[in-house]
Amino acid sequence: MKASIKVWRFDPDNGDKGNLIQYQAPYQEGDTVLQALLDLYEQEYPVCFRFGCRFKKCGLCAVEINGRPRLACRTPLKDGLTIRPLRALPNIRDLVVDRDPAFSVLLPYQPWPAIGEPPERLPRLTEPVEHQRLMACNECLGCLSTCPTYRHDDPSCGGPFQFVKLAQAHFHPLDRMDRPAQARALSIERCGSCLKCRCLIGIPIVKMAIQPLLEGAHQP
Amino acid sequence: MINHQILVVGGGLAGMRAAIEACQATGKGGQRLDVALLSRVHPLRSHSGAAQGGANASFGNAEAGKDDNWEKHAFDTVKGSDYLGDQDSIEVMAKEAVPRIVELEHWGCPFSRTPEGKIAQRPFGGAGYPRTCYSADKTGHVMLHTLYEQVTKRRIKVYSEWMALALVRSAGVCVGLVAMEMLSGKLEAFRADAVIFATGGAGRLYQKTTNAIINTGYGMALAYWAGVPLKDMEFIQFHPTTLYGTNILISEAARGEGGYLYNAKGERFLKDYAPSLMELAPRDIVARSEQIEIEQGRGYENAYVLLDLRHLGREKIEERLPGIRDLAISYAGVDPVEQPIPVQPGQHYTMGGIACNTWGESELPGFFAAGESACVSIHGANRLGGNSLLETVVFGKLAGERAAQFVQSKENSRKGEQDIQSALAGAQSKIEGLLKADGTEDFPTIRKEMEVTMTEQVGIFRERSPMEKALKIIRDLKERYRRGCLRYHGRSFNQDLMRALELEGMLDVAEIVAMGAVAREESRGSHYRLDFKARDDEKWLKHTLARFTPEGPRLEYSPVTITNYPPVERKY
Repeated sequence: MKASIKVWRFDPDNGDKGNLIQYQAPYQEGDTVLQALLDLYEQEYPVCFRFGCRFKKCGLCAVEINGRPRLACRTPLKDGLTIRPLRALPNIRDLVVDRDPAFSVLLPYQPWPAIGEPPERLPRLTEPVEHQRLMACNECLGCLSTCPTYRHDDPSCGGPFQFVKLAQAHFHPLDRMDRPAQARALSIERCGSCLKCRCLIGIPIVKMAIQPLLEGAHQP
Repeated sequence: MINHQILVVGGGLAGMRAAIEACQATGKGGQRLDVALLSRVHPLRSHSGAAQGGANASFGNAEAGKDDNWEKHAFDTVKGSDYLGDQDSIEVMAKEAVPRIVELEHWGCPFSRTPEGKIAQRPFGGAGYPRTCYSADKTGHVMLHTLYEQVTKRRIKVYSEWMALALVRSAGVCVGLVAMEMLSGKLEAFRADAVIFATGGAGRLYQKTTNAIINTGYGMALAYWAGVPLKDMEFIQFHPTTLYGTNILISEAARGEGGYLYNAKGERFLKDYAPSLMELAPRDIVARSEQIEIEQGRGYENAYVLLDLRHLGREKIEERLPGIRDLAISYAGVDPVEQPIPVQPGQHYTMGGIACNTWGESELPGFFAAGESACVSIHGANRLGGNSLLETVVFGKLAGERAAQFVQSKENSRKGEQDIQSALAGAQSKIEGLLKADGTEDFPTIRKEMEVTMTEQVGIFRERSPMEKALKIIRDLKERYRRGCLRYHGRSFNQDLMRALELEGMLDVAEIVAMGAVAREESRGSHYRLDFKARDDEKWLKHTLARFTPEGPRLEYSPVTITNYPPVERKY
């Protein structure tokens, strides 16, 4: 069996502006889009895309499938799919985007638990459920493509990914920084009337990241 | 030419831990050492993040583990290794385990807790006590984030998505490397007083593997080409519970938490193989038992057995094994709360690697190794679950520390620049050669033939004549490789080129695995010979070393260090 899919190609070395190629992917029950891209790469056109683990862990294979961000390793292959790079980030070649801006904007905010001097004795802690859920983030950056206002070239404008990272620190039991204030510096106020962001692996971004940071109370 | 005092290659747990340690050291003028990290993927995308189950340390926090101590951890590891592990190194690992885990804790790593707030511990295969510290079933993921935060905090320069292409030696010492920036395709020469490789395993030599597509063992090949021997490469771990079909890992934690394995007759078949430890026998034994059940017709569809978690109940599965449940639902269409999971053995870990000692020192001065790419050796012929995450932080730290001492002890020299330049020119012309080649062979086809050959003939059960056939096939593939041709000839992010380069290394590493396996006429740990079923300490209690020669690998042997645990028969 074959599935007919369209894949974005863009090769700056050849000076082209990018277009979709049609491809007949070999198809077996249970195949994923990642499998189709690997087949395409190996058998016809050397399409360029990032990949790593093939089971949702590494977050590298996020692309837009029929206009919505998806993990290629998680999306069943079907006839008629159109596969494009994540629109929220600069396109480098074919399906590859520049992931750097999403991380560099966070650097001034120390996106790690600010613990200070380590305590002498092993602290006895409980981990809030929000922290457990937020730590599942595989940083695929797909959520940025669901945000109507995120801009990768504006350092005062965070998106759902950046707020998830700040919320991870916010809910860390030993963090001592004012994360809601940092979120305000990344213009989180604009989220209050939107809440359209979605996580590709089901982290409740609005409930566990956006709202707690918006409400602003610093966790003790 | 880019200069750093210490260059770490590989951004997974071992590499980052090494970089953190090295950058804490100071140079002669009291200034911090200049340490940089170069990685083929962004550090947070490293395969360390896929580790699920946990890291062993003898805290004795669990009620059933209160008599645990480092000696017991060391003994379990020695026995698990089928006495091939070096006991001095294993003792260092067992002693260092607790401080390394506490340190991660202090850096903010969210380990799961007991009700009293201590680090929780679960039972794992081959261990006498519940010793494995974990964070649900995403332990590697949280450890990776914790270490990356420390790397960022220390402002260690990271070359992300750079691929190392050559390790350079000059006048008998390591002086740097050549690497390619993947996005631009640009080659760059790096001068360094010390280089640490933490480049991961070689799982992709095999078709059925839990490893990521990026785990090609290329770092091992680069070290080998630079004259550093690879040790014990014939010891390949097959994990007993990988999802039928995709070979995605189902953590040993599933059995640690109480899961059972059933054959098609509905029997917990491990009663016939490891009656005392049952499902928690070491991985080599469980994987072999499963394969025997399948081959003797007691599997399902002649391909898999069942891992049953249903009796653990929904609550425990959701709390302790949420990732496993999600993977089984996503990739096998099976909810473990309601149905058993179809599993089969799959390649999982490379016990062998770059030959080095406890401190990561190889025989090439200035060149160090750590993590799965290294062979210290602590895992010997079979690694215990939970010792790999531990190894990364223990031996990553030691390699970083020793590399820093090495750099501090020498005058800041600019030696070897000429050799680095000529290595750069060599890499340049190799790549241009590949880009221009108009041969008739297809690299992906060669790679697939290698994967199938290794899986079928150098797999769980081994025998001379099929393995000799495999060796011949691999040598033919090496010939065919020379007539290979790329399909994409641009420079920017040319995966076609990167994968072709890696394939050259994989074929050499596959040859070494097969040669070591043919030569070793005994069965020990993961290496099981149908024609030599017993362990033979008299002839084979020794490490295999494979050394590069222009005619192909030359095998040598070196003694195993025995301290407190004389080899006895291994029974569970």
